[in-house]
Amino acid sequence: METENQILHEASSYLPSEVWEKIFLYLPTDQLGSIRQTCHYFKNVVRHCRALRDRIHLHFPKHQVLKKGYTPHSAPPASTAFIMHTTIEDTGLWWSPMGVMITELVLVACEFPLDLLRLTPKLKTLTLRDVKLRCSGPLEVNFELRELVKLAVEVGREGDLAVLIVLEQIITGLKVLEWIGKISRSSHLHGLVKLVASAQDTLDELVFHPHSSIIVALLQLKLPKLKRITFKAEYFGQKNFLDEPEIAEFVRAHPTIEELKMDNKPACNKVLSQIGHVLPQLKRFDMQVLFANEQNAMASLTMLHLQSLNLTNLLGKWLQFDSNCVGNLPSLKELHLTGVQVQGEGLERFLHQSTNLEYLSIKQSRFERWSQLPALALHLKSLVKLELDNIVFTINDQCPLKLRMIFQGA
Amino acid sequence: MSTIKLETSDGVKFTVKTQVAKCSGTIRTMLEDIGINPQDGEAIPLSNVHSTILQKILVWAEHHVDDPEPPREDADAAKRTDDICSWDEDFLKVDQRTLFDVMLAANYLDMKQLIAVCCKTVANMIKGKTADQIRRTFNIENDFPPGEEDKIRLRNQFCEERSR
Repeated sequence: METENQILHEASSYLPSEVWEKIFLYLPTDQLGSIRQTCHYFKNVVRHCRALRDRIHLHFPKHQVLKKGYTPHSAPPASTAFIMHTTIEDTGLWWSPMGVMITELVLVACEFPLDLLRLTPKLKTLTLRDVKLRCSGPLEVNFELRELVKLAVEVGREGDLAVLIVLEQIITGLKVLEWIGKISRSSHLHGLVKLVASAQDTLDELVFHPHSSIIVALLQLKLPKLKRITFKAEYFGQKNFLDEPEIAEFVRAHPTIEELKMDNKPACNKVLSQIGHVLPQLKRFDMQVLFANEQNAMASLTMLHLQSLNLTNLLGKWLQFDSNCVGNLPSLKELHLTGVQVQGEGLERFLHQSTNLEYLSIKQSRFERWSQLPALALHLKSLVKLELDNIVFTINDQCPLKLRMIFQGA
Repeated sequence: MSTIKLETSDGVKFTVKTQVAKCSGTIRTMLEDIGINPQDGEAIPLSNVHSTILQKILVWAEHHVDDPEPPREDADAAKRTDDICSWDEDFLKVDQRTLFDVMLAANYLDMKQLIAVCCKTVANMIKGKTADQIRRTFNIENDFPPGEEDKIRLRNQFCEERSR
C-alpha cells in the first residue's frame, strides 16, 4: 500500500502535495514521465492527482494476447484506457490496479473476459466497438457498473450478442446511449431494444442513425426522461428525416425532447419550415447540412422556446438570409451560423423577435458590405459576445481597414 | 483609508491597507464571513508566516492590488507558463528556499494569482529536464531502489498526451 506520508527528502516534501500538483499541471503531459522517476513523493503526487491522471491516455499495444501472467510495462496512473485489436485472455493480477482508476474505457475489435469490466468499478464512459466476450461455461453476471453514464456500442456484422446481454444487466444509471452503425440482424435489433429498455428510466440522450427499423423498434418503449437526441447521417444521399413518418412519430411520442441534433440532406429549408410544427418545444436545435446543391432561402421559422440554434452549412451553396425570411424566436440566446449569405437586412428580420440574443457567431459566410455588421450589432441590444471568422464582403464599399481586420480575426 | 494589523509567527506586527490585505482569500474570509472587526485594533495572527516572507508578499500584493479578476481557466487546456509579467519575474528572482517559503505562505493565505505565478516559475525550472536533472535542481534524493527506476521508465512509454 502506498502512503503519502512516507519519510521524504526535505526539498520535495517542503511544499505540500497540492502545491506540487498545481506545478505539475503547468507541465506538458510527456514531462510527467521524468517527474514520476524523480522520487517516490513525486510519483505519489502524480498518482493521487485526478486532474493529472485525466490528462493521460493509456494505449495498450495492438495485436497482442494478454494472458494471466502479463506484466504490462504499464500503468502510469490514467483515467482513460484504449485497447484495440487485442485479445485479453485473462485479467490476472495486472488489470485491477489500473482498472480501479479508469473512468473511461475504449475497446475496439477486442476479445475480453467479463472480469475486465468487473474490475473497472469507477467506469463512467464505455465504448465497445466490434468486441467479443470470452467466456467458458455459463455467463455469470454478478456485478453492476453503477457510475456508468455513457455507453457507445457498435455490434459488427458477426457481432457478439452476449455483450448486449451482459450490458443490459450491469448498467444501472445510464444516461447517454450511442448506437454506432447499422443493424444487420434482427437479433441485434432485439438486443438493442432490451438494452434501451433496461435503461429506460434514466436515459436522457440517444445517438443513432435514424434507420426506420430502429425507430419502429424504439417506438415500443417509453423513455420518460429523454431530453437530447442526435440523428446521424449514414450517407450523403440521406432522406429528409422529417419526411419519415416514423421519425416524426418518435419525436412526438417524446415531448420531453429539448435538444435535437441532426445531419441532413441538401434541402435544409424544408426541414426548417417544418421543425417548428413538429417539435415546438425544442430548446436547442443543431443542424449540419451536407452538400447543399440548391439555393437555400431561409424560410420563416417560428419556435417560441428555442434558446440555441446552430446551422452549419459546410459544402455547396449558401444558406440565404434575404428580405423574405421571417423569424419568430423570442427565447433565442445563442445563434451560430456557418456558410450563410446575408442580403440586406435579412438577418435582422430573422432576429426581429430575438431581443434576448446574447451570443452570435458567424463563420465562413458572406455579407454584401461591411456596414451590415455594425447595423446588425446595433439591432441586437442584449448581445454580449459577437464572433466573426472568415467573413467575405461581396461589395467593396471602403471598409475601414482596421475595422475589417477586427471583424475577420475576432 | 482603512487599515488592519497582521501579526507574523515571529511576533512582528504589520499595519496594512485593508484592500491590500484582501488579496489574501484567507484574510478576506476572516473579515467578511467571520466578521473580525479591523477597527478593534487587534492584530490578525498569521502563525504560519514569518515576517521576512510576509514583507515580501505585501510588496507583491501592493503592486497587484488593482489587477482585474483573472478569467476562469479551462481545466483541460494545457496551461501557459510563458506569460509571467516582467515585474513578477524580477520579484521571484530569489533563492529557492525563499521561493518555496513564499509559495507556502501564499498557499496558506490563499492568494491564487501569486500561487499561479510561483507555480509557473517552478514549472519552468522543471520543463525539459530528465529525472536526474530535476533531482539536482531541487536537491532531491533518488529514493528508488536500483532497477525500479528503469521499470518506471518502461511504463512511461505507455503514456500519451491527451489529444482531445
